[in-house]
Amino acid sequence: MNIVEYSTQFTLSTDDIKQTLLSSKSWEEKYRSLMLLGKKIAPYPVEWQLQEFQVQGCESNVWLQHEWKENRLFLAIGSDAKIVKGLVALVLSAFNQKTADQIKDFDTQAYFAELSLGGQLSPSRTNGLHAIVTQVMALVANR
Amino acid sequence: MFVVPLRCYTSGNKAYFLLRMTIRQQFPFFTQTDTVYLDTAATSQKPQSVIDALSTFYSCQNSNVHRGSYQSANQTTSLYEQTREDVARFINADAPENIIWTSGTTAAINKVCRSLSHAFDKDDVIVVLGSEHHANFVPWQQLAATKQLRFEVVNILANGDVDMTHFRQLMHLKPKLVCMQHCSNALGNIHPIERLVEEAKSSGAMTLVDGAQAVAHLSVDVLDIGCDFYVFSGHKMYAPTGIGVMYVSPNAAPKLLPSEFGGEMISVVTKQKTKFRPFPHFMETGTPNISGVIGLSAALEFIQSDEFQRAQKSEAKLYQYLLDKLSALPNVKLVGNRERNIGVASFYIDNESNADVGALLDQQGIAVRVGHHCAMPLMTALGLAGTIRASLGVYNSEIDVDRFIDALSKTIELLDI
Repeated sequence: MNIVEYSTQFTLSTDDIKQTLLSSKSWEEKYRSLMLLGKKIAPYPVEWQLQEFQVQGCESNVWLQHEWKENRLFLAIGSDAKIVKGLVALVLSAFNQKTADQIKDFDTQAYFAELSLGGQLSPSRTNGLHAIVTQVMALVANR
Repeated sequence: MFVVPLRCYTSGNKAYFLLRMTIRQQFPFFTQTDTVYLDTAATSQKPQSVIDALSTFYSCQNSNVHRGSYQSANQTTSLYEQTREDVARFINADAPENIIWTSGTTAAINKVCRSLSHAFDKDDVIVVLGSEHHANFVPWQQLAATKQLRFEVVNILANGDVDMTHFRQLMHLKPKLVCMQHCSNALGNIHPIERLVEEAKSSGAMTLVDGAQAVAHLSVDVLDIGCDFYVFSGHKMYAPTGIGVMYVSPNAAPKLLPSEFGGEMISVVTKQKTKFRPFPHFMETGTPNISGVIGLSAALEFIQSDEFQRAQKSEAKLYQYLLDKLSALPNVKLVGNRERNIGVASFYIDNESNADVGALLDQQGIAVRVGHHCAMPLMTALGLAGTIRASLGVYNSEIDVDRFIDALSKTIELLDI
């Protein structure tokens, strides 16, 4: 499997995500939904779990690979933690298979704030979300 | 104020429960938050008396030490030097001259490392325990790399204790220095420090003990331990951050050279050369953390109070309560020696990531530490990615443990998807 094939398996849109998370009535439900969203990501292949793909600044292991194809960014992001996987689903819904301009124009802060997960984006969090988003932005900037 | 719920703790334990709750009231932190604070091994909360000491110092006593020719400077200097005497008594050091101020344990270890580096020649051996905090591991590893020394690490048993057979094998190498933690920061194990130091000394080594985790929980007697250096931080023993202690034995003192240069540590400076003041004065340069010392003084008073001492005696009971509750949960795997421990429950949950557990506990207002606890070599030896660490302080009680266990049960339930 290559990155493009892997990444096209993920099809959830930001609207799908909002619909799922915003219907949760308690934090417990929300985290449960978040972890279930993480389960929608295809298992990240073991042979891709290499140090060179590891995202720094996460308490758990997070790997990130990418490929540009026809001006779109194809992302493969893996994690060994259920909540981080859920957060990765949110990131993918916003950035995966999008053009550089679409990614630049996307208001990540507002998106996470709308989901009441704004705090998760903070650089002081060890979940790695900040590091993942920063890395995606760098991919776009350095393209 | 926190209202004690009517949940009944068995009558025998009631007295100590009430005592701990009374002590808790001395900590303003708990009036501001509902957090269940189980991260005292990272840093302790501060009692009102310590906060007041800092505030009084800056409001009424602020002046530099050892320099002033005026009254308030002299008063501050005398309070500052009195604390050195108090610390010396606290750890039963020979004299106040054997107490050097540093900014913390890490700074103290690095300072010993630099002040002693001249004493090492190629192929000399330095030994550390496999369970060390990185602060007592990396400086020595780096020194060894720079000076082509042998850096040896003592094997650790499955429960985090020292593999004594391996320790003795390494002592046959006649190490020049053996560095040991008194208690494990990641697991809470209390090491047999007197025996380790004695065996290291009889092989001719100098000894350094990292007491960062020990001082708030055990009564420390450096003469009894017999080590050359004993280092610890104020902030884990209810004092402010940024103040630490390096005890240097009279035997080790002549081996140290100045490693930081500036004011106060000199006797004569000319264009050609500088003459240093004798030990211990050349070990401290620049304006020290005066407020930190004053805060430490208040913390010492707090720790030595009758109330604290009585509450501290009940730590073992509370710890057992925590262990019993944890063991009753499904898939919780405890790590470490729980017989000889300073009140640390280090554990993981089968097939779950520690980060997930930490995040869900955080959602429920539980403050614990998650990860490798700055002890990667230990985690590697134990074959773990890390642990979740709940550590007790004098202000914790069964109420905290119950709330923590409830939150952890819910966490385990939520993660089961």
